[in-house]
Amino acid sequence: MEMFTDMYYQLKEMRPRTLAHQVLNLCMIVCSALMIWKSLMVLTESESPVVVVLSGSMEPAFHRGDILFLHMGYSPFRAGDIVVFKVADRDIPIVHRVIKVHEKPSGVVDILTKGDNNSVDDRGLYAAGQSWINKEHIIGRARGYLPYIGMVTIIMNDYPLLKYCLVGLMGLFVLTSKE
Amino acid sequence: MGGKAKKGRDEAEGEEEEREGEEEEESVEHVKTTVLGDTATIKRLLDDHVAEVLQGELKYEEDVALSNVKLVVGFAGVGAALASHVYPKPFPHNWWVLLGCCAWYFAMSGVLQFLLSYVELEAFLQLKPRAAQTAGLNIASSLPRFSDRYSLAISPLPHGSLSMWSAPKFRHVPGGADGVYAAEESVTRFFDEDGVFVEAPFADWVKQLVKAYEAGQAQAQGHGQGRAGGGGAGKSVKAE
Repeated sequence: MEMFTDMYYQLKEMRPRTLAHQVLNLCMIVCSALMIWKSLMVLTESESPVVVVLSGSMEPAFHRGDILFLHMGYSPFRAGDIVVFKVADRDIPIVHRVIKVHEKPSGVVDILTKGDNNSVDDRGLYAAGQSWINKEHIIGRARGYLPYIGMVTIIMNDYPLLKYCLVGLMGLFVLTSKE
Repeated sequence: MGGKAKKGRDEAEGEEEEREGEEEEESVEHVKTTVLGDTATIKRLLDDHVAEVLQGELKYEEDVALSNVKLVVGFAGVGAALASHVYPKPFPHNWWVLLGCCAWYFAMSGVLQFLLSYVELEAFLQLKPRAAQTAGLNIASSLPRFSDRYSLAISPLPHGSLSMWSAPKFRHVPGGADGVYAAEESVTRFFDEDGVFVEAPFADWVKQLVKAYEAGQAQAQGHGQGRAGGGGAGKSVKAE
């Protein structure tokens, strides 16, 4: 508790110019993280270059809490590719495997997906009346993964208060940092 | 050294009691304490006090040009980052905008890093020249991590703070370039064993250095020569 009162007095006593510089420090740190994410988006051409697996529908390949690295790639989609896609009315992207591909002469490609651990294909998950997904629904192909590290993200999403507390604390430390 | 510190503390205690008597509204929290051994806080505290002495008692004005440049560059980068985040088009269509924002951000960030690493170094305050002086002041300080020797240096800025990259630099090893006046002292002289900071001896020490610098500058100007520090280059003032 004493640490927080010390920080409070420290902030109160700072000259405005010094405070502006400390705020800039904090902003630069946050923006560096943001910009690295955006650069990854630019490089991998994928809307969300790193995703966390939320469900166990791809076991034994991927477990809940794994981190996946995505890359859109230029090669055509084939059965067996693991793709992450978003369906029209849902926010949360789904990571499943492609099981059927129909390439039409018009250039449209229809894709059907299914989770390895599911007993039925994904038609039940698609929007009403939709039987296939297309390239515009796909965010990227899974190219690599890190096991279990995403559990931190899952915990922070399940308990948002934890997220705010952590970020707030980090911000306070940077503002009153001595270096 | 212990005897000197005790004498300093007794003097300071006497002065503090006087001051507390005069300014009754000053609460106890205004007495600055630090954890002894935390060199980062100590350095920051001493630097802030140097700024206070120079701007308050000696009436120097701060030269904010370089500080403003850093702020502008920094917030320009932050602005680009924000723009990339709030740009209205969905992902694949805003690829070029994202590329531009990322490139701009990393460029601004690079400029800022350059300013910090090559121009500013250990300087923490720049001041405009006062009265008869021709050059501004660049104040730098150094307190190595596990040491108790605090060094303070004043060097001239002939063309204001924006020209810092070509002005004489202070490194914490004394004996630097012409016109640089440096002083080094143990911080144990300014803090008692509870970590309470005694302001008066520190202010006196700083003022002594500033007077030596001003005298040196006046002498140099009196000779009418470009070569500053007529009394001797890299003159070191050892405080008693």
